Amino acid sequence: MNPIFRGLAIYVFLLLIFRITGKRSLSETTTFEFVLLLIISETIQQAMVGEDFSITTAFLLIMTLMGADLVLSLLKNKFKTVDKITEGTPVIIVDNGKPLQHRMKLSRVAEEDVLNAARSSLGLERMEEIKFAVLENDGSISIIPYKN
Amino acid sequence: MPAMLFSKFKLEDVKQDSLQVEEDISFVRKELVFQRVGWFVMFVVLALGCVGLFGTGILSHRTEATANAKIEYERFLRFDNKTQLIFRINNANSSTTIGIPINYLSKFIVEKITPEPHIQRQTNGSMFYDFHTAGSSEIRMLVKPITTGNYKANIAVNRDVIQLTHFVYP
Repeated sequence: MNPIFRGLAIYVFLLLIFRITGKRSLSETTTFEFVLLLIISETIQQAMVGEDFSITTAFLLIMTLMGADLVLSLLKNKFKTVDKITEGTPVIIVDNGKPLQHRMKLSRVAEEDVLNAARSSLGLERMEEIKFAVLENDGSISIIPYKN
Repeated sequence: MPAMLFSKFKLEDVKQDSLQVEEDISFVRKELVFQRVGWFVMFVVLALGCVGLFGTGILSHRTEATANAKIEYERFLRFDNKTQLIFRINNANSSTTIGIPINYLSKFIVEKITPEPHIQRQTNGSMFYDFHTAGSSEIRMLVKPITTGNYKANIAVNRDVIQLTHFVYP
């Protein structure tokens, strides 16, 4: 298959699979997840390149992947819906110190994850000190404390 | 069914105006439903992969037989991935001839034949391989698909004709 089509197929598949598995998948890179990412990249590299190690193919594939990303970012800028579909939207998971259980459960966030983010980013000690916690598009958790 | 699925994804309402965040909770619900459907599809695909829908498994392994010969092969193949055609011949004479259409060979590369044929000739759009055999014999061909799609081929084993069907995934 033409390397450009291979690259595009891989790009679309990765976009889809990461949307399906959700924001929290591979959002915090533990050692195991780091190894998993390496294995995924190695698998993709072999499927894209096959036995063709020419510089031409490398150039074509890099341009395909960068070009697809550029087109997607332009579309996301122009159409809000494309941005939502490809990136998702942030979700408030703690409201005025109260964890929103349904939202957290369905987004696969544990209270401990929120407390962990609160401790590491702002040195907060308790859930009641958090005004809002937001699960961001990249899977990270932003903590907004009460203003003293 | 979709309504039932949506009803399982109840999310709390948050009434606040201090935090400037573009939250769209109805979209989040649709996203969650899409993800669950995606998980289901992913595991179905994996289960089908385990039983051989994408090659190497019970759904893929085929045996076509006549009174004197049998071919074992994989129905589902993957592009650029080697596979074996195993010919089992009963009560072979001193020589066995296998004829493979040229248009089949244009979609596959024959990497290895065991045992090697003593003669290889092309006649009437087919490649014929002649082997020295005696009694029950087994001939193995290692082939590699170089194009994708659905292919049928009539393979001649001595006087018998056996049809093979392959689907090659990209």
